[in-house]
Amino acid sequence: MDKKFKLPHGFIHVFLQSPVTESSVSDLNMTSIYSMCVKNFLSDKLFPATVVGYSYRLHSVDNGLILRLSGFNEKLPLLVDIITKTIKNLEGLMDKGVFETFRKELKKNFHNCLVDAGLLNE
Amino acid sequence: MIKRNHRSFFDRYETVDGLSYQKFLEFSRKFTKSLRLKILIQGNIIESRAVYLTQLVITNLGLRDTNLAPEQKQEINKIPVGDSYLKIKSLRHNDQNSVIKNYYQVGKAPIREECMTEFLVSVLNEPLFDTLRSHEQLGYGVACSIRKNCGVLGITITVEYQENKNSANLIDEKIEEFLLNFYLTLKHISNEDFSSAKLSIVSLKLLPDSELEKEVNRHWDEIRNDENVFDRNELEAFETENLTKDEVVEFYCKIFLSPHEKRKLSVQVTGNNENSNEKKTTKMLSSKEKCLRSDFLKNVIELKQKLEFV
Repeated sequence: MDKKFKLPHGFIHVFLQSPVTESSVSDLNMTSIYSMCVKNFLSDKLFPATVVGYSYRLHSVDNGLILRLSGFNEKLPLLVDIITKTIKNLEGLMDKGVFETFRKELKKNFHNCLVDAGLLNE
Repeated sequence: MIKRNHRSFFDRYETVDGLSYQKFLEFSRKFTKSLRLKILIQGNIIESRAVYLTQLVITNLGLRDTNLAPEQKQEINKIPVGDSYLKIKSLRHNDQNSVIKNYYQVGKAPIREECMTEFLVSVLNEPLFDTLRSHEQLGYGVACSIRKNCGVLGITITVEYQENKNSANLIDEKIEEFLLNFYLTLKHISNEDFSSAKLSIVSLKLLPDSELEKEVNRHWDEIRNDENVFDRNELEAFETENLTKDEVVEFYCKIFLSPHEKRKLSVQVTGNNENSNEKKTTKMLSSKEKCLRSDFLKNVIELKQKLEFV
């Protein structure tokens, strides 16, 4: 409980580690697509929240997913609820079209990384 | 090169087409069952509420194992002693932009060495920029930074330049020349200048977090890197304050100059010097990609196989 800054804000950082992500290149790519799809379904639902100052970031990393939320502590539990349920139940929301869209986007991202000398160096 | 199980962009790019929707669904099931949690909650939230939130996450995600995610055991390669080079040509046909990154590995360092590394980076930055960019005009971007992979430290010197004006070898030579000359500068630095350089680092470290967000991010970085040193700034300020000139000079020698101790890796992505009228298309990538990829991977795989862990 923060007593220093005395603001009505809260921050929640969640790291979801998965040995599946690390197990192969395909699984790593799948994880990236997974996070893009989740964000896709969240954007409509959570848009009103973002307007009033809540923010959420979800991205995939080498060994899983990272979720960061911030905003007024009052409604944070609601955000957590919506986001975690979407992560868990993504399968039910998905269809082939969505998958293909993000698969192609991921490929484009890699292409851009490969042609940029600076990024390729990293 | 540095992380043992790093997945290169090449590999990732190549395997994307092989992903099918069916496999994705299978993946989803596996994935959601395998998740393990690490969570940080901070702010205007009382303990019982934080516990409730954590429980909510656990329930919603169906996490059975309520243990924390295990400590990450990333394996980091030890760069061999001496100089190693990894060269690759840029994939953009008409692009003359090149980037060279010289990485000098420090290794797993106790906090004192980490402070020395930070100190060196802070005193190197300006003179490096001055010499390589302003005086010698070698490139348009010059930087020096500290790099940390799972507790393994290194110093990276990056130069972005144009291939038609300079070559990677020349830039590399100039970097080494600078490092050699700087050794003398460092050796003869006055006590006053040394103290004031230390002071500026220490004062920055001791500045309290100006916002809750900064404090949260600092805590999160510690958790994410499995280091959990939440009073890092105070500890580092203390160590930095007590650095002596001799030990810093010796450390500098060890990292940059000594042929028996330094571990340097120079990664060079060189632009293309040819003037061609070919259009840049994705087809270009796939035809050039094959020959570049086999060279690149061959080099990387060969080199990596010879490396031990830190």
